[in-house]
Amino acid sequence: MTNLCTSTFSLKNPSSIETYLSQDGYSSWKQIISKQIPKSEVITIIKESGLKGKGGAGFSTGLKWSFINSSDQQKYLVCNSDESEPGTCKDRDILRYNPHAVIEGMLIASYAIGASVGYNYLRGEFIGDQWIVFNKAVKEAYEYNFIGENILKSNLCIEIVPLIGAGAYIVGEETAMLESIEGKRGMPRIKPPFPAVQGLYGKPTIINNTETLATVPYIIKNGSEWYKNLGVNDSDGVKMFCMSGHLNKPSVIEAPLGVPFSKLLDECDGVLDNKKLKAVIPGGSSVPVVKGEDIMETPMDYESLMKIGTMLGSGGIIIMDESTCMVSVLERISRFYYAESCGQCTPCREGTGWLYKTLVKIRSGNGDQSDLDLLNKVANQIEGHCICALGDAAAMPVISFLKHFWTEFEYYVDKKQSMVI
Amino acid sequence: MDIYINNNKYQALDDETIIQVADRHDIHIPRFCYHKRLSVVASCRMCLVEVEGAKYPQPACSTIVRDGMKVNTVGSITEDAQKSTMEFLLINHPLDCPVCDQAGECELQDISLDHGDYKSNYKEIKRTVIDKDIGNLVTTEMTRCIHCSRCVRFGEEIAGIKELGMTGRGEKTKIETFVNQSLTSELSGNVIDLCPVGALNNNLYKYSARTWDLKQISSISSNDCLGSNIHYHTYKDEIKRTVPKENDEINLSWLADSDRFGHEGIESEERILYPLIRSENKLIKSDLDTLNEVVSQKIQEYTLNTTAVMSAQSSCEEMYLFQKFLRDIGISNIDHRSKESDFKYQDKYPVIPSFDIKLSEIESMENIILVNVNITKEFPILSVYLRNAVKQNSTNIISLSAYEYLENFDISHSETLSPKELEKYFTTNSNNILSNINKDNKNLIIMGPSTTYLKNYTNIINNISRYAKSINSKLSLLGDQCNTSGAWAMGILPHRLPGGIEIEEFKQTAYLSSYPKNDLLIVYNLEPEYDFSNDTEIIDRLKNSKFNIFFSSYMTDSINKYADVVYPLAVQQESHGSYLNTNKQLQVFNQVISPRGESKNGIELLLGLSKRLGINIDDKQISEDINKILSNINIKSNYVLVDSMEITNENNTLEKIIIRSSNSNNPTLRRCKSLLTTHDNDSFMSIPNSMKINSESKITINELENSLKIKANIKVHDKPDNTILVKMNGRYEQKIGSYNTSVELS
Amino acid sequence: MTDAKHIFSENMTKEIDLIRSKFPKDKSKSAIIESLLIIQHDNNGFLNDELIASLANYLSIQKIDVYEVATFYSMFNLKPVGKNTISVCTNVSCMLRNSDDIVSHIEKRLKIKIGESTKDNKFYLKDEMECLAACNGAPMMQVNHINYENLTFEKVDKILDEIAND
Ligand SMILES: Cc1cc2nc3c(=O)[nH]c(=O)nc-3n(C[C@H](O)[C@H](O)[C@H](O)COP(=O)(O)O)c2cc1C
Ligand code: SF4
Ligand code: FES
Repeated sequence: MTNLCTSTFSLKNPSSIETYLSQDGYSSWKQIISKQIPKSEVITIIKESGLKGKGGAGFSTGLKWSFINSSDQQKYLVCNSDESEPGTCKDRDILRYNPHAVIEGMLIASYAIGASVGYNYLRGEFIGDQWIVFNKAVKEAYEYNFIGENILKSNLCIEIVPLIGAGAYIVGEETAMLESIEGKRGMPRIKPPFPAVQGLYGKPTIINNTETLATVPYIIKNGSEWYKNLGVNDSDGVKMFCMSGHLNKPSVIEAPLGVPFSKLLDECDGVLDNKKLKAVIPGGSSVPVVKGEDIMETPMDYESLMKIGTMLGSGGIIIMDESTCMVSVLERISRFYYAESCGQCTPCREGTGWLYKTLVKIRSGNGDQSDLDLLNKVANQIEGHCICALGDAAAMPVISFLKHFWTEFEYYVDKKQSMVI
Repeated sequence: MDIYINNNKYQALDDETIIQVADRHDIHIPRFCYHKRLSVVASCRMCLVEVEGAKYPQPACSTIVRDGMKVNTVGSITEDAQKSTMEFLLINHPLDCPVCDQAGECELQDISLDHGDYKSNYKEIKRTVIDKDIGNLVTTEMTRCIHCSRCVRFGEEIAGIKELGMTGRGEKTKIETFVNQSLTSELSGNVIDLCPVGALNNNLYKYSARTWDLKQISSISSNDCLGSNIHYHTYKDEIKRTVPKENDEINLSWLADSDRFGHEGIESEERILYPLIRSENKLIKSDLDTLNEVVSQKIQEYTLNTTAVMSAQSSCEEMYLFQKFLRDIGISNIDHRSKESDFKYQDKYPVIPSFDIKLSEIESMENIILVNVNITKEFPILSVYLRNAVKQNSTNIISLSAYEYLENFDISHSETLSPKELEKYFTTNSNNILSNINKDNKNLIIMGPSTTYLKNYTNIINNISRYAKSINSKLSLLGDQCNTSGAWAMGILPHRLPGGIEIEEFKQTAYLSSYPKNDLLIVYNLEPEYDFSNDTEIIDRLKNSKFNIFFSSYMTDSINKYADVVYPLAVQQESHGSYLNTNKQLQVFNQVISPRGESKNGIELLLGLSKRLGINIDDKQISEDINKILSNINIKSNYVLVDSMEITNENNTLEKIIIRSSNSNNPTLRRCKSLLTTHDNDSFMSIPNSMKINSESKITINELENSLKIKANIKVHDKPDNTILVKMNGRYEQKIGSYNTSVELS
Repeated sequence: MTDAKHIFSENMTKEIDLIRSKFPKDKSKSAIIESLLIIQHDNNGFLNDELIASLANYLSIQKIDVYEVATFYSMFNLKPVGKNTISVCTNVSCMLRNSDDIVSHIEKRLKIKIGESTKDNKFYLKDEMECLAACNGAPMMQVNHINYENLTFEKVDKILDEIAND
């Protein structure tokens, strides 16, 4: 509906530098360099645009950049292309169809925070496609001298380095990503200290999501007011929504923030086979589920979703129709967090397994009422007690599924079978 | 600033965490992953406490205090959080307390009594972990592990060598080494104390007692000159295990493996349990009266031709009495430097050679030069301080040694130097690494004990002292034995009385070589095979002397052959006394177990003999004298500036470098089987390049009376040239003696 | 620590050196993950103790450091597996589009259970727990990390046939 990150998607050879240049690509970067726009001004533009992090937490990007420890030491930028939150599939498209926007965004961000190296960390499973495309794009940008030494004869030197992971959801958590880049197990660090003070190799580091960074060049080019006004009503800017599940036409849609859910649904030609909408997980599998009827007219922005008890998260919207067995879905979600817990902190390491095993038991017809209470109890014991948000991510679905679909769970433990079959 | 814990006001410092404030005021907060000397990971979540205003309870170990913060370590929010962590921890922990060594001192067991909710809601199958062999010292029972990661952090942060790691992910996370590798760090045993549950256990202690039956007695290490503080745990008059006694100035919370496992040798079959006397060429059981009778006669007969050598492992009390009774009857040929061969330095030596600075000051040094010492192996505890200096202060450490030692801290420059090269290195410093060291920096030179073994020690110490003076550096002289400083202070020397008072007529003299004809030898707690710089020479002496008196805890071949009488000496753990450590602190140790057989504390044996010789002194008098002597000693520096020097001549003879092994440096350690087989004690020697060898060559080592042939598949070293490296003191694994008369190639 | 023993070909060491050059000089640990990926690729898709120890030696780091990493990330196999790795995404979005049926279909076709390799060692059906980030193309799978989306049984058969005949 709006094209920023997605502006090259439908073009021929979308990932090539020529295509990007034909869309006025790298003009922001050239402008910054030729006009020698001060770093602080860049940060101010981003701050005023209202750009919020697209990786999940929705934190103001400009504000985050302004936290960078301003001493002379080495600084790093890290682009988070680990995209692993179930239901999320936007960064992969940006990486393969618009990689130069990511590179340009990384350059601008590196410049703004004073980093001489920007790492882009791609999840391991991208090795067959996005990894290849992105590496090629970086090479092109080097050839054009947008990256490297003495960039466009400005004496400026910034390196952009692609990195690849090897399979671990938790590495998407920003401090776990830093550990992973340092060549260790991806175990989240305790905060404080925050990465902006002590990040990669102990040096000040800013971490941003791929989509966030790919948006940056468009904001620099068109101004903060322009970006702000793209949003509907009070919302600022745009977001990529990944529409998946029971839909006639699952798609990734870049749309203004604040767009009503129903409109996104229309864009996907409605619920699969025109069945009734049962439930929606609007921000990747870790956010609370809501009932279909409760979200229909909700504007898709951070605040409105909060009001109905859920979150925008990463923009991974999972649609479930009336035929969906909620017990099975929750079991599957729990399996994921159980498998992906890093294992360092007790409630998550032990609790995610407990949740999953209890759900397996219920699904196999061996559960009873007390197991439902147990699920609630264990989820509450995990929530808020862990080092990183994976614990919460494992707990929130359990609590919300039970809250909204209690009768369905009760039915399952009573009748030893699903209500929807 | 002030914070409130349970509504009481406490003072807190700026960067402190809640747990630090609470610990300082004895407010108990349960914890597993937190340890005051390790980095904070806040992963166990046992220390969650209510912080007013925060949505969720916060980990006390990582939460920094704020002015006016209100913390509750009691009350339902805190208790629920802790209970729930406990419940999570117990779901995969076996309930095998009845067969677990940790029972009774298990932090998990304790806390579960305080916080646990007994009926667990968990009904799923518990995780089990297959154990792997990680060496002879530490045994594992990994199903009990609660993943606190203390052991892993210890390896990375303190021991400086990561051997245990965390593998797998999530619920399958495990602690293990890489494919059954054994732990090799000289500090490895500390993970036993750090493990809050019974997952990492002490192999010597395993199943031998229950913790609540143990008696705890404090003592001092007899294995190196740092003087680590120790608690021995005994049961029925046997040492069951050794654990560290916290000491912020020395061993912090740690113990070297030699200290922790070093009691194993006490029960060796080689213990001498009775007074022995030679009769018809055999040592037979006798009694002390008989021995004293014979010995006093012989001593009086050979007064002027007696040499007495005493181990620097002896207590200050033994030392003081030893030299006193000998000197009182006119014997002055006394020494403790059995491993040395160059004594020309001695008149200029400090009255108490010492480390000169506090261990805690190491951290603030900018440059440290290590001379002939492998800190990591020889002084594991000291390595903790050096590592910290590199970490905290980026201290520049230079190692100048005869061998390329591996250290567990970063060395910025290292050089392999033969004794002759070492001597010259400090005089021609214009074009070497030393020229970068600035006089205005804080500099420290640490001299390893094996330097004193060298034939040109005088020249080396002289040159180093001059250099140290020129760069304003402190000079640390590490002692070879736990009481080397004491031996100097107590006058176990030919040329000095206790307190360093010079005896004019004995200047420039030293034992053995200076006494061409000795008719009587007294050897106190030294083993001829292992404790002398020149074993052939000492054996020769023993053979030719008229009478040999031994004080020894263990029997060796040479004692068996040459002793005329043997006093059964109790080991340190069976005695009481005091040591002067390298920081000049006099530390008292207690008797831990009773002497085996009829062996006796050295002081008792010596008092008996003195009495027989008509010298009247008692325990009380001895301590008073020692205290008086020590309080009168005044040392300015450790510099040893010799006036006239003989330059070591340049020739191409083969020199010998001896590599000290901290795990076999005294008679008891030599008998600790598990220590000797764990830490790479392989017999080992290195042949200089100048000796052309190939794999066919045979090397003949003339060792004692035997000639030993070794195949030359031995590591060849390129530097330093003209030297041969020999490991000192090894026993079980060691085929080569401490010193060899000759090395021939065939 | 001076032990530089390793069993890598010259080409491999060049590649590892290249990876190392992405990071600051004293941060050789950072090269572990990417190096293991290429080493694994070069070794029929799995790692063994010798390769792990070799990399540790080559990077002058502790073996346990490499082992920790090799056991943490799910793309590393520490046991031999079939030549072609099939990962069917079975996470929520794909599950809603019947990915479990796709798995059963492949299991039946290849006569193996999830997590196993075929007898002829051609295929390895990985027990994939992660969402493979192609939710709008559900159900989907990766074969050797190439995406195949909007799967049907027929489509799966065709893909597997093609690979088997390669
Ligand atoms: C368990 C967990 C997984 C995460 N995974 C991702 C991810 O795959 N991609 C991402 O961009 N952010 C992810 N995040 C969020 C990051 O920690 C971080 O907030 C984000 O990268 C910041 O970028 P942004 O401000 O541009 O959103 C994850 C967070 C958690 C707690
Ligand atoms: S919450 Fe889970 S994933 Fe996050 S640090 Fe704790 S154990 Fe690791
Ligand atoms: S002691 Fe605080 S989390 Fe472990």
